[in-house]
Amino acid sequence: MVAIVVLLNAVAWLGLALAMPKHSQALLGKKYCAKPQLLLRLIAISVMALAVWLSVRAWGISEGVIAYTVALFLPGLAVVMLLSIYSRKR
Amino acid sequence: MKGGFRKSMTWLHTWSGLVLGWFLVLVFLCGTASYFRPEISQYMRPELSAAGEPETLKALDSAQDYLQREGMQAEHWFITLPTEREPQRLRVFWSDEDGRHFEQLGVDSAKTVQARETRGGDFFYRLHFDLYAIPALWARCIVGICAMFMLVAIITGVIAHRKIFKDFFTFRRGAHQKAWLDAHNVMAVFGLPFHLLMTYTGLVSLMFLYFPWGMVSEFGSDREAFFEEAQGYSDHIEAAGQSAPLARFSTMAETAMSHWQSETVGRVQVHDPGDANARVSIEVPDTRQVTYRAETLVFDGVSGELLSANPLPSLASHTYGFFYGLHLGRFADTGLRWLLFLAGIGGTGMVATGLILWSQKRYSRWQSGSGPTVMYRLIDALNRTVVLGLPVAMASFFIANRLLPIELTERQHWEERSFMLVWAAVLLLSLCYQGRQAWRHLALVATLGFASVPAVSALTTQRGMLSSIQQGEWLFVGMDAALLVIAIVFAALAWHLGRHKKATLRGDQP
Repeated sequence: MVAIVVLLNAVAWLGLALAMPKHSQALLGKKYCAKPQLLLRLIAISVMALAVWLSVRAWGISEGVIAYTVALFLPGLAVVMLLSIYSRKR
Repeated sequence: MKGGFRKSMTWLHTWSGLVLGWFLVLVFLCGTASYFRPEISQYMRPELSAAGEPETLKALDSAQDYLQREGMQAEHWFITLPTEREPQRLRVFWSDEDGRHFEQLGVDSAKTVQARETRGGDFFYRLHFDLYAIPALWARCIVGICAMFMLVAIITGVIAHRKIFKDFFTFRRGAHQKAWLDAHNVMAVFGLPFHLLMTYTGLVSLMFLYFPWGMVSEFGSDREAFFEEAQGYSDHIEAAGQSAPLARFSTMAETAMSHWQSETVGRVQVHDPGDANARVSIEVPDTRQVTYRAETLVFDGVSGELLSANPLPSLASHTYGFFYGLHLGRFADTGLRWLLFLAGIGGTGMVATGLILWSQKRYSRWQSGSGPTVMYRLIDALNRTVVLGLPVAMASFFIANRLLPIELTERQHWEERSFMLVWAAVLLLSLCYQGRQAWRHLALVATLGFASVPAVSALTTQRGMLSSIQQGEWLFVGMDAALLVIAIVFAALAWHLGRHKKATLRGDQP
């Protein structure tokens, strides 16, 4: 379950990053207009909500929320590194 | 503090972070290592196996047989039973006219087993709030002040960071000083909830020391009376003065297990063993619940009858137990414990990158001779001693554990002294040897230190990586692998620092 929550958080962080013009330009070579940006943000937040729900279901309310909070760090770091490496390669 | 609110916050963040950062790296790093306290303790006693399942009842019988043979003159016995994470560790403690006795016993032999004297993971755990060589009370006050300022640094850091959302995913690898700034920001922002939780719960766990007035106004200096009332039980009873045989502890443990629906029990305490009024207290085992429960069942030591169980804790006790349990992280399974560990490393990295950033920002000024060079040199040396010297000292602690003679008097203290002496040596070297190359060379020393622990272990014990794989001792394999990964991380850091030097020589300015 830890791996699934970490993965979902990574997807959510990546979605939020791509919704930012600076990173979408660096990563994909194009800037999204307002509507796709909003859609990406909504999808990313929904994935985060799914991760919270899965954590709470697996570990209970107190431990689940803590697990989710702790599981934000590693995927966040991974997405930042990915963006940094990939942006330089392009 | 000129220039408005944000500048004031930046000033406060920089200087509170710098001065207390030296302590905070120690507190964060040693606290993070404590997530694997039992594993480190077992790794540092290579004579003992770390494999198997905990056999609570058999271990309790062994401990009782041993203590009835050796410790009948004592007023109290303490038995620490094997757990899932320490399946072979059975320890007993008693004190009598001959002094205090700690023994490690075989789970099924009722005899002492010989293992090297070491504090293992307990050293890092205690160091993270008791520090070293100063009274515990003072140390905890210092750590409390640091934690308070950590909260200040977190809040002022958020305020000082003007483009916190815009820079959320930014990491400029190529730009040297900006790379450290980005690394600092990334580790702070993504770990922010964890850093806040750990700092706040750390303060709460010692709140009776920091804010004792409520307790003192009701109970005076009798702290034990307060905790007994808070926990809802008291197991104090006068000895009858008549001897009587003890009932079997394992039978009482079975009752406790069925009471808690658990497969093990926690620590066992025996008051007045051999007396007609003997009492046996059995603590609840660590569970997968976040809330730390100080729950105990009290048995009549002679008849084995259950005398009292804790009532449900009050809301205040439950809240305190929740925060305390959250800080300890004992509820976590293996996967979650690794996430906590990595987030803790992130916290250490946040403070460490802040300290490095301070040095980097002032390096150019120092080079051009326009900065306060003596002060800069001192602070830079202290930063290096804390950021890289502490890991070097930790590696030396493991190496000392493997190299110090087993029969050495005060062996465990010599392990601790090795840690402190190496750390002090790094400070001296850092004061004499300055500049960016000093950072790189110290990172290389840390690489060498951590990489050599598995090698020294293989040469001096039966728990080398290959033989551990053959024996199925996966804890030793895992610890060796983790130490090698840490060595690789420091090697990557040294390479990064070396790469920057080449870039500077080519003319790229930081």
